[in-house]
Amino acid sequence: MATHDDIALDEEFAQASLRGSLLRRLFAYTRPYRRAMVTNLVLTLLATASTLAGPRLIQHGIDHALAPMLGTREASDAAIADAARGILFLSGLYLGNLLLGWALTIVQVRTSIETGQGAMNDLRLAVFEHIQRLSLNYFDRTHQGRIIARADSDIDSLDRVLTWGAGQALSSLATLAGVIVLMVHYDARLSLAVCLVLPPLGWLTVWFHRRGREAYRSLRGTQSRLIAAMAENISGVRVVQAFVREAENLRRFRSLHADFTDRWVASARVFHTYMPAVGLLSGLATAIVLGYGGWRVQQGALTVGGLAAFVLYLGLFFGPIQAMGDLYNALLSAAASAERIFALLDTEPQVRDAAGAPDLPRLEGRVSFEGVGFRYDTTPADRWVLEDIAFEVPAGSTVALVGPTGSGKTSIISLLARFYEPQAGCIRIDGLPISDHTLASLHRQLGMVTQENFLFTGTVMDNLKFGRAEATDEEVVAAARALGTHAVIERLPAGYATEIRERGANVSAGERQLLTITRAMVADPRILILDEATSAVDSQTERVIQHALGTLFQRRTSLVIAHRLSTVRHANLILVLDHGRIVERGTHDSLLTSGGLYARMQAELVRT
Amino acid sequence: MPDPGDPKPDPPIAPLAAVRRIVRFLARRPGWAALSIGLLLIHIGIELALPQFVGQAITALAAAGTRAELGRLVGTFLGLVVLRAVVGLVLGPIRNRTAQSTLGDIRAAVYDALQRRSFAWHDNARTGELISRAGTDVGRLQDLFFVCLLFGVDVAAGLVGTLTLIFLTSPRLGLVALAALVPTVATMGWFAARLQPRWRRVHERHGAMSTVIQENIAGVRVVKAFAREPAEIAKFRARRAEFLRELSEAVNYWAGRVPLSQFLFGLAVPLTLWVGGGEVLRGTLALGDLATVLVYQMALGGRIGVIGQITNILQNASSAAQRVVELLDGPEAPGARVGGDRGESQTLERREPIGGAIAFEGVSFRHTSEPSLRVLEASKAATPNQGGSGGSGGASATSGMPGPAVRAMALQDLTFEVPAGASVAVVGPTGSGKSTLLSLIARFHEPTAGRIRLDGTDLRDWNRDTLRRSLGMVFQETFLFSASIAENIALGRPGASRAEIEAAACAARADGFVQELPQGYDTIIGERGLSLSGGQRQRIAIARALLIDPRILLLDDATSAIDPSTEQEIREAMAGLCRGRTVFRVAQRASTVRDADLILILDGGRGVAVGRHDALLADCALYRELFADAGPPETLA
Repeated sequence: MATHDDIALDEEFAQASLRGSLLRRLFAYTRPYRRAMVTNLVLTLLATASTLAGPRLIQHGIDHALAPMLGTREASDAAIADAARGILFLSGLYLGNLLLGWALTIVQVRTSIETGQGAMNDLRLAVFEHIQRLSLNYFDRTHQGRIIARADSDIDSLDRVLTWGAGQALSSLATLAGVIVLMVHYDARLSLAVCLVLPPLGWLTVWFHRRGREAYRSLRGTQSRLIAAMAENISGVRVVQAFVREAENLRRFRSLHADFTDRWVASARVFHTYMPAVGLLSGLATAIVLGYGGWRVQQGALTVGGLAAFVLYLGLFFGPIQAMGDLYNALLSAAASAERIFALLDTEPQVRDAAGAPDLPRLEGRVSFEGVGFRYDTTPADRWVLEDIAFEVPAGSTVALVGPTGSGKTSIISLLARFYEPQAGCIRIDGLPISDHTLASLHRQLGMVTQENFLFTGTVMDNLKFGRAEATDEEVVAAARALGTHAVIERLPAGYATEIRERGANVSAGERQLLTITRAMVADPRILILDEATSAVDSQTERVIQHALGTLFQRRTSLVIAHRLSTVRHANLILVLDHGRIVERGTHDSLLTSGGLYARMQAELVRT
Repeated sequence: MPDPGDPKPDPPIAPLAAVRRIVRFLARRPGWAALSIGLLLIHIGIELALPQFVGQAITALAAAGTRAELGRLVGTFLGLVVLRAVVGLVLGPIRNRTAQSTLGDIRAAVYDALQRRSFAWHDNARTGELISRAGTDVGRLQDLFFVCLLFGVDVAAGLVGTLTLIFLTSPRLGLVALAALVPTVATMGWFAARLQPRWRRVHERHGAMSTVIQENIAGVRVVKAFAREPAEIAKFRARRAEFLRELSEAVNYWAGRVPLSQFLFGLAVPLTLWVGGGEVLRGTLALGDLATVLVYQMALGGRIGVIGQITNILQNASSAAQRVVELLDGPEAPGARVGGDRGESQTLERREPIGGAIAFEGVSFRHTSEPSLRVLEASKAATPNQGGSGGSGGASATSGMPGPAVRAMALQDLTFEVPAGASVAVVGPTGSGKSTLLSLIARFHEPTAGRIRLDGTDLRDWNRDTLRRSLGMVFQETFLFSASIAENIALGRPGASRAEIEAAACAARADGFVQELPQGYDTIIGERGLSLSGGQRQRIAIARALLIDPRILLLDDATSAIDPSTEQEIREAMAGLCRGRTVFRVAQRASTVRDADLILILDGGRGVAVGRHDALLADCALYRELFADAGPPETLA
């Protein structure tokens, strides 16, 4: 069975084939930054030339100023002074070359980052905007973490290629070509001899990247198991102590870690084979230069300065090959990320406004379901989640939906919010089919309180204004007062200015419920959709919640998935669902007396 | 106990002392550590020797030396190159195994320290923060070991060795090298220190941008229901702009300064050329030696480049070391180790089989609210954004504690007695102290005042493990480990046979659904496996408790929505579990309460009444209120 971790691991290590169309589409995002990119590439060529010039200057100094003097033991002072001037001039040139390199680096870094981050952030925005358009069916069938990865880590992983890729590729190629040309210029035969190390180096680099990935992949799998084991023992520490498992768990953790260490070493061994081998090849190349090159010097086919330059050029020879191997690898991973990102961008939203659909007028709130049938994308084809649902709710009344888990309550409210389109039947508000009107005009008149009571980071006030950004602080406070939640909010550390941490981690479950109820009140929707939270709260908070809900239900149509006895008692209509059908309907009293499923389910609705 | 209103934290351990503590773990493997460093020094030695041969060869060539001389030099050079490769090949695995095994010791020490902490300590620590500390900070120590101890040795030995060799070749060139090196290293350290807060701000902004994405996707229903998509896009754009602003600030700072260090270092080459050239001309330096020095200069460049990086890692690692040491040094749970608790020696602890008679004598308890972790993360943003790949997803554990207010007494002056084998129902509104009472019996917490006797002996005089091995517990929420169902059931008795496990599962009414799973008892469950429903989890918990055949049962069963048929099965399973044992049961429903031998009613931490169902219905107003709301008993399923 593939766990989520395995899938994440697969994604992390995926490599796509380098299709031209994919890369073209990816690099199209750099087009707005073309000027920076072209500047960068031109400067890269200049910088390469500057780097290559260094050894050439040293060779010149040795051959034209130093070596001639060595032959003549007793050189004239004038000759020495002349040679010293030559040396000084060359040092000056070298210094100028360094200054040029310095200036080039500054501009290169800036233009690279401007191009890369510009493109990445445009892409990030495009993904984010597209996610806003997608319908809930996409969110149902795709794991949350994976959608987040598309807009987050997948885009981050393009950094290497988009920011540095073009510059590095050009610089590596130019350096390699330049070094070979210069070596050939000094001595073609010696160059040929040195180039003997290139094929094994290339083969080694390919081997390294292939084996390295495999080993690293297996390492990452074990590593995430290790972290999970640690995390699990912390979350479950009470159980660990209760069952006296400390010694046993420590033993298991140690053996897991021993396994991890083995894989770590195996993965390191790949790298620590590659590096010594590269060192061996570069040493071999130097030996060729010294031995064969030395012989060539003795033959008079090469100058001493030329030999020194050869040694220095060798230092520039190996870097580009390793860099290109690296880059190719990065390109394969980036292509895989880009493929996943574009797949998201190419997903069409399921629920869309029909062409020229009008806005809904201000709604009264008369809701009717007419023969509605529905299944999710993931539902087997022979099954329905909702079947032949028909009911009508007068404007301003409260409807409670009850039924066992999986009976279709959530699907009904999702359809009313038009998160999905039903496959059969029609949903109308005030007699108008919602599918013929714009989604935005429906959602503007809708308020929702969900089970998870989701809060966003920001102040409490920001959160309360979430459904109506233009509300004033006074309006928010007035709404909270009307609900009786004002006192609770005031008791928070900084009252309305309290900063909510991620997912409301710093407020209790009860406070979260009260805040989301207030949020819905501020939005003052025509239609309220509420999925009551089941988490237990203390009796004091429970009383505040009940009072607040009672107030919220007034003056609007409310559809409630009810877990509270108080809610169902006060509902104008109770719909009892079972296996996607409405099996009973009526008020609390009438349903209790009829003695059906509702009466049997009473035990569940114990919270008053 | 420290007054919670008066924050007087112990001074946290100093960063250097913390690093020393951590590095001392290496001393547990002295042989391997010595071998790693020895081989590393040999490797560096060869590395430093090689340019000498290049120089000698050039000198020989310039002086028209013989072919034999050249051949000897090249031969030695090649031999050293091969030797270097061999040493490198051997060194890699050895140093990796040394460092990673040492990290394993540290991880295991942290793991063990955390599992031995008291419940009170865990209550006051945020689980998510602990997990990230145990994971991220130990990960940063990995950088410390690999980059600083090994790479650092490389850089330091390389620098010192190279400089010495240059000085030996020519003192003036040595001075030149030093003159270039000192300002380079100084500016690099200076810039690195100033760059770090800038990169941290970039990470923070990146994190804020990621938060918008994560919240937007997690809260997608709310966003859509309130038609907030345009506002969300605007918010995202704003965060993105902030991120780009910080990023370009940092990049401009970097671009304006760091290349300067590289330039300063680069100055060494023309200076060497000029000064050394003069020496060669005067005949005080061989041409080959000048070449050797130039090659050394270039090799130094590579080592210098990582100095800034090492500075950063050292800073991060020393604060990580502080946080890890805090985890290692925290207080252990009472009785976590044999002996010591009340000064008695181990032999005085009672270990004989437990009968199950329990007496509370004036027991009071107050939760402490002292925060468990004091060394705070300098910035969350220093944590690199891990995306979703780790998948540890601690999001489910949000049952966290409310703010650090001064806590009221959770239990106050509680006195009662329960004979062995009796069943007790603990009843009361939310927050009245029911779960706390159970946790005192299991010695998860120690009473603030008063004492609890088990079979006449103070609980603290029992061996803690003996006590807990005789206790069966079913918590409100069943924690499942990512392991097979069989392993989860055998939690308290890892050696149990498959037949015993299946028997316990049958008795807990869990066998039915387990058999239906594709891999049966070998199905992996928990965070990384199949997720079970609330009712199924609870039956696993009951099987767990049954398997250890406890004398005392502590049942804090969940009240979350479970459908009626499951409810019935669980009730049957519970009945089997309770027979013949002392049972403390937090009860929510009238039906379970009615059958208890004794009902204990709590309100605000005080025992309001003790008695049997009929008597309490007659004289206890709270009892009537609690069990009248749900309607008359007949309608309770």
